[in-house]
Parts: sequence; structure tokens; C-alpha cells
Amino acid sequence: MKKTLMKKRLNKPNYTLTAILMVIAIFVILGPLYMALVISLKNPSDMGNVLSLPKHIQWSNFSEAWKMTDYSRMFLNTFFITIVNIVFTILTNSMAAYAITRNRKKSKFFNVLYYYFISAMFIPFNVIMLPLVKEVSAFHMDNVFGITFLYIVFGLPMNTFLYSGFIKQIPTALEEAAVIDGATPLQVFFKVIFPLMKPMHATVAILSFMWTWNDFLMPLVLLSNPKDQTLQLAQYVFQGQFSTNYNLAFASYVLVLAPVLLMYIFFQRYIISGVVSGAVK
Amino acid sequence: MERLKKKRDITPYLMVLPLAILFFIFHTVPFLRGVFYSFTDWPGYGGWHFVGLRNYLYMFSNSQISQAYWFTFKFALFATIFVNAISLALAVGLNANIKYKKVLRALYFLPYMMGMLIVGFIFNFIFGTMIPNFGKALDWSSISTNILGTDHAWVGILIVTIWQGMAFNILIYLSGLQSVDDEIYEAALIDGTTPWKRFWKITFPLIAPFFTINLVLSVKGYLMVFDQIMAMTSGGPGNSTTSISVLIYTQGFQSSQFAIQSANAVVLFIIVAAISLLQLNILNKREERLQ
Amino acid sequence: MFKEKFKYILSGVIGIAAASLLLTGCSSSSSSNGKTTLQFFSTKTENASTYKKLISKFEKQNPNISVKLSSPSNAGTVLKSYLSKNSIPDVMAVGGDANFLQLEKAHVLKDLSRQSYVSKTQPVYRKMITSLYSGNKLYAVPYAINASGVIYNKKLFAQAGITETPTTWSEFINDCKILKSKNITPIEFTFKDSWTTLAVFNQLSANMISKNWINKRLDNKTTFAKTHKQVMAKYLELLNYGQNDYTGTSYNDGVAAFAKDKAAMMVNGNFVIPGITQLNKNADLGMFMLPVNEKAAQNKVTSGVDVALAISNKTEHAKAAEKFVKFLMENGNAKQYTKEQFAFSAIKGVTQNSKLVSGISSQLEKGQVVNYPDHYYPSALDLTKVLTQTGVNAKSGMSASKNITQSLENADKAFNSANIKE
Repeated sequence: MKKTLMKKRLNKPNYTLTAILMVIAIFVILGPLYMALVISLKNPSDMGNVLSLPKHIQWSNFSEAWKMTDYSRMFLNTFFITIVNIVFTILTNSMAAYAITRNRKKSKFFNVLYYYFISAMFIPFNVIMLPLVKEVSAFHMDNVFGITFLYIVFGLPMNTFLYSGFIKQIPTALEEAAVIDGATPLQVFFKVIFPLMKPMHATVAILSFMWTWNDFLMPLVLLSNPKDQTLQLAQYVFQGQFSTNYNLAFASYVLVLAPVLLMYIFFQRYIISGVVSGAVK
Repeated sequence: MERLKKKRDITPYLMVLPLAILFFIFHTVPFLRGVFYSFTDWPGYGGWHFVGLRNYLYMFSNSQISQAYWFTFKFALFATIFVNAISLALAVGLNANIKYKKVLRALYFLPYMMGMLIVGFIFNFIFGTMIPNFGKALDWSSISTNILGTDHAWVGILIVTIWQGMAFNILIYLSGLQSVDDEIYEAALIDGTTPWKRFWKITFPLIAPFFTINLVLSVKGYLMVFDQIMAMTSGGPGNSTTSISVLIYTQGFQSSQFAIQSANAVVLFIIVAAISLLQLNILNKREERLQ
Repeated sequence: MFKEKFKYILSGVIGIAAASLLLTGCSSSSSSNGKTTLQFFSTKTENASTYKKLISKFEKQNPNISVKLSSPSNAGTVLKSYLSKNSIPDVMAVGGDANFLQLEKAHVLKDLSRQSYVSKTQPVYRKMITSLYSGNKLYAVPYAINASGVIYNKKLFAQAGITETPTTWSEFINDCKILKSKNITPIEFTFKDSWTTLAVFNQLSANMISKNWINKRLDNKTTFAKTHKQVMAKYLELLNYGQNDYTGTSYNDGVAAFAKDKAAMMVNGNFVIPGITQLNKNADLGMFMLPVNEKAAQNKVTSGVDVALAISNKTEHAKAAEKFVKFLMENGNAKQYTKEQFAFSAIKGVTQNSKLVSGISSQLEKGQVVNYPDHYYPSALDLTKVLTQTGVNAKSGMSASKNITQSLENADKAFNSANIKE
């Protein structure tokens, strides 16, 4: 008797709590975004009350900000870096992690390599920044291609860690069966293991995306040519040129945020589960 | 047969060696070079001499550098505490029996998607224009000035960091809370304990591993704080919001400071490595327990 | 189901990536299809609009050259990171200051002394460049000259009943008091952008400290604490007449407030004026020099090379770079720059006739000028950090005497750690 009563109480949604959480979310989380959006749509003379809806929607802020920051170029650069990084990271890093994980027990070499990569996770980018900048310029890699390459290489420690945790759970019987069927090790990897790792590929892809799209420090120190800049870096560079035209500045912020937010709306479920498994695994 | 076996043995090496070599060249070599430079007086070009520990001693005697360490530690401590306390509270709320659970979770995770630099610019406007205007309209003098231009500028940086950092931490706590079995609660409800006791006695121990993950990732991340400072104060007023990373960036490219900031980076590395070791230790222990 | 969708998305994404690869690939090797891209780096953000106009004019005349302007807000640091990477922009517009000196010391600049346009410039400004280093080569050709002083709102001055601009320190302070008593904010400071502190401090120290002080300081024979007490006292005295939130106001916001008649004066340079007139076309402005001393005749305008043009000696587009500099140095274009930026030109015969700056142009013509002291400070010295802290201290109620001692101590500490022989 008592238990069913309890159950009932548990099943009735807590409306007060729902309301509190909703109010916090609307004011704290959406508030600043709402402000950014309305300012980006206003005319400078309409800034008396920052939070009011625009009297006339001024779309030209966007086209002006687009031209001013050379948006299409910056977008392509950022897009290129992000996508190429994701594709190559998944291909190469999963392969490396596979080789390491499956041979760790048998070979000292791979075990040492595993610990080498894991311990490199201790070294933040800020620590190697100064010498790296020297090295990168000596190799003439201070451009879009160079930085993409570096992202692929620098993601290795974290991704080895993530992939190897996943590979450990895959039974070796599948691979053995494939070998008996006459598959080469590369075939075993691409035909058997690689498709099995799909959930981890998703996680790695999402984490790599978040890292490269929003990164500021690495482009700041590595990319010097204006035509190689990324969206984040361009925002920093153009900050002074917006002067007091906040409408233009905010239009430009909205332009940078829009692609990520759109992606979030469509892939929210995968992004959330990807980030969770990246951190908890 | 023998030959075939040999052939098979070489593939794993091919799978990993190219990447490992590149990693060594672009990650390990710069790191080792940085450590090496920290013991020299190399200005970034030309000749150099060994100077032993001079750069490290200089770091301790230089008020700008010690101020940066003081700020960074203070910031990392407060940010970690606030972000985790607020996130845990919100996560417990989101895990309760509420309506629109999915929508709310998606909303609270939203800030994670936004780059810290842009978030910093948006809050720069909120602190610099919106809040002071609001304060002036209400004739409320304590908020009618820009907090980023006062001794409390670091609080402004802290608020932005909490706003953005919350998202990730809530998510992790939430996934921890969801792994707790409902029946445990029901049993506790029958025993008639208070919600507060229930949380500390039952829930918290169960999500402790998630708490450690968050704590360690937070401390590590906040010791590296950079983007929001560049967006909002560039380290000012005075040196009051100059973090270690900002100092390495703004001073490190100065030839007279290259070696000194290399030493600074090495010290930062030692601090972060100590924290990461802790992290790995904990993760490994848990892995052992699971197996 | 998801698998199918995922495949489509993946192939779409890879397709776009490949396309963008082609696009970036094509344009990065732009010189191969006949178009040269010049990188033009400027350490100032205020004059970007004028540069953009001049650039589009240049690009029209030279359709096979495109010029990319970059003027980041943290230009000094950015430039240093370029230097350490050895990737120097093709053409640079720098001030005659520590940033320029860094470039010169790194031997990355081309000697311009034999260029035809050099003889058009006034020798006194060429000397401001060459006096920064030894040797008789010219690593940057002076382009625009700035003048520091006080920009004032004539309407508000009239409202307060002030009819003549002050010529001595006590007159100046008296005017501030009058303005304050009429509920007009006397001075708008913009210390959130820390460089503006030095715009004030430079004018004070240039008029109060002798020119060879810096050499003694470099040899550690004197200190800020021993010599700059009066300077710091006057700096603090000025802060009393600032608006309420002077440490939290950014340069852009301060200029906007000034354009809206929110304050009577700004202590900065002529380069502030275009920002004001852009926001308020009817702004009734004037400029006078900050009268630092009690004897009017002793006061001088702080003036220096605001923009000097330099070419990298490593550029792959030397011809295009020279063409661009030569273009900027043409009288007509220098005139346009001077006019739009309310600047003074280093080129003979290009004059500044705007009545907005007539209050200081006569001193400039007479040569009643003194260079910026910070142009001679070590490049690693960032005095603006010390000076913003002084402002924050004053705002949070620290006594003037304690603030002076502490600030000068900090200045000496900062100087000592920057004063390392490179």
C-alpha cells in the first residue's frame, strides 16, 4: 500500500522545480544569446534600450560584417581545418590506437608507445607554444595546411586513450576468424574493426570538431597571413575595427556562432552522448 | 609460413610509426627544446649560454610573474569550486522528476558549443555597457561602473567562466546521476530520511567518480585560462588578470623574455602534470575495479 | 537507417571539404595566376577606414595586386610573434616607437634611404626615425605625424563660461574646477584600453623630465622614484577630474561618450578626432596642448612619428610592396590621409588646414615640439600596466602619496626587468 503511494508521488512531476530550472535557463543561458541576436538586428540609433526588440530589422549589419571580416574566406579556412582534421584523425588515430592496443601485451615496444602517448597528455599546448612557433616557421607550416596537420598530430594522445579503451572491449575472435579467411591485417582493421568502432568515431569526431572550431590560441600564434585566419582569430583581429558600432560587432559574433548552434540543434543527441563518453570513458 | 608471419608482424608498426614519428617531431621535440631553453639565455635567435637556474630564480623575484601565478591559482580555485557546486545543484535538479527534461538538458548544455572568445566579447558588452546603464537607470552606484575596470575585474572573468564551464560539468554530473538506480531511492524513501541526508549519504558516494573527473578537468582547464582574458581585459587593469598563459603569450615573443617565459612554461607543465597524474591514478583505479 | 543517413552526410561533408581545399589551394598560390597578394600590417586600428579607401584606389590602378590590411588590437604582441616566426608582413605601418625598434633590431627591414620619395619628407621627422638606432640607413619612411594634446568640446566650454583655452597648469586645473562646478564632466579617460594612460603620462613627463634622463635610467643611475614624483602627482591630479568610471571605459566607448557631449575634454592625440566626427558630424571641437608647466612659454606639444612605412627585406613581392609604399607617399594620397585622420604629414608641402587642430598646428610649425618619452623606453617595458593600476588604486580610495610611491616603485621594477641587454 505504502509503496504504491510512494510510487505515485515519485511519478507526479515536480512543477515548481521545473519552473525554477526553466527560468534560470531562460534568463542565464538564453538571455545573453537573445541580447546578442537583437543587437545584431538593430540600428545604432535604436540602442536606447539594449534588450528591446528592434524597431526595424537591419539585415545589412550581417552583410556588412560579412564583408568586413572576409567571412566566406574565414569560414572556408575553419571548415577545411575542422573537416580534414576529423577525417584524418579518425582514420589515422584509430589505426594507431588499434595497433598499440592489440600489441601492448605482446610487445614491449607498443606498451612503451602507449605510455609515451598517454604521458604526453600532461603537456598542455601553452607549454610547447614558444618553441613550436619557431619550429613551425622553420618548416613553413604557419598556414591552414600546417595547422590542420598539427591538429591531427596533437589529438593523438587523447584519441589513443579513447580508442584503446574501446578496442579493449572488442573480442579478438572476430579478427581471428577474418585472418583464417585469409584477410591481411590491414583488411582486418578496415573491414572488421573500423566499422565496429563507430560509436567511438562519433565521439572523437565531435570532440575534434569542438576543439578545432572554437580554438583561438593555436591560430593566434601560428597563423600570420590574414588570408589564413580562422573565424575565431578574425573576430579578435577585427575587434578594434568595429569601433563603437556594436551592432556590426554583434552581427559578426552571430555569424560565427550560427553554424555551431545550427549543428547543435540538429545533432544535439549525438553531441551530448559523444561528449559524455569522451569524458567518462 | 615463416615469411608470412614476419610480414604480418610489420603491419602494426606501419600503422603507428609514421604518426608516432610526427608526434615526436612536433610535440616532444618542441617540449624538450623548451626545457632546454629554460636553462639558457637564448633570445630566440643567434647564440646562447647556459645560465643554470637563473631564469627560474628570476621568476620568483619578478613581481609580474608571481602576480600571474597568484591570480591563476586564485582563479582556478574559485572557478573550480563555483562551477562544480552550481553544476551539481543544477544537475540534481535536472535529474529530478521534472517536465521538459530533454529540452532543459539541451538548453543547459548550449554554452559548451560556443567558443570562449566570442562568449568573452558578449560578456564584455554586458559588463561594460548593459549592466552600468542598468545601474545608472536605477541609480544603484555599485553596479553602475564596469567591473572589468576595478580591482574585482577577476570576478568578471570568473562569471564568464562559470557561465560557459557549467554546461560540461552539468552534463557529466547528470550522466552520473542517471546511472544511480531508482530503487535505492525508493528504499531510502521508505526509511524516511530527509532529501538532504539522502543526497549526501546515498547519491554523492555513487557519483563520486564523476565528481573527480569534473574536478580534475576543471582545475587543469582553469590553470590554462586564456581566451576569455584576451577577449575581456587583456590582463588588466594593471596586471590583475594576467594569467600564466597570457603572460607566456604577451611576454614570450619578446626576445629578452624568451628564455624566462620558457622557464615559466616548464613550471606550468610541472603543476599541470602533477594534477594529471592524480587524474590518471584515479582513472586507472576505477578501471581495475570495473574489470 | 542512421547508417544510411550518416553515409550521405559524411560524403557531403567530404565533398565540401575537398571543394574548399581546392579553393584555398587555388588562392594561396595566387601569384601563379598573375595576382600578387600583399600583406599590409598596421599597428593602429583608428586609421583602418582611410587605409581601406586608399587600398581600393591602389587596387583599381593595379588590378594584378591585392592588398590585405591587418590591424589587430594587440598589434605589438602580434608583431613580435611574427618576428619570432620570421614571417614578416610585406609592408608595415608602424609608429616611431619600440615596436619599430624591435623590427629594426631583428634586421628584417629594407633600407629605404635611396627611394625617390624619401627626399620629399621633412628631415626632422626622418631624424626621429634614424635617432632610434645607429647608422645612417632609413628603415622606415615617416608618413604621418601625430600631436598630443587636449581635444575639447567648444559648446561645453562656452556653457561653462570658459572663453579662452588654458596656457598654464593652474589655468587648466581651474577650468576643470569650473566645469565640474557646472556639473560637466571635465575629462573623459578611457583606461580600459591601457595604452590611453600613456597618452596622458607622456605629455606630462615629456614636459617635466629632461631628455637625457632615459640614458641615465638605462645605466641604472637614476630611478622613476627619484625623479617622477611630480609627474605622477599631476597624473593623479588629472584623474580627479575624470568621469566616474574612468578605468572601466574602453577607448571606443569613451570616444562615443565624448561625441555625445558627455564630457568636455579628452587628453589624447589628434588621431581621436576622426572617431568623434564620424559619430557626430556637427561636433564643435578644438584642440590645445596640455599646459603642463606654469610658464606658458616652456610648454611644448608632444609629437612624434605616428605612422612610418617599412618594407620587409624578405618579401617575395618587393616590386609590388615598393609600388604600394610609393603610392601611399604620393602627395594626393598623403593629403587624403592627413585630411581624414586630422594628422600632420611628414611630406613637405602637405599641410593640415583643419581648424579643429589649429590650436596646435602653429606650435608644430614653429617646432615647439618634444618627442614621446616612451619611444625611447626598452621595448619590453609596459608602463601602461603600472599606470592603469595607479588609476584603479586612486578609484578605490588609496591616498595620493601612497599611490605615487607605490606606482613609481612598480614602474622601476618593470623597467628593471625590461632593461636587459639584448
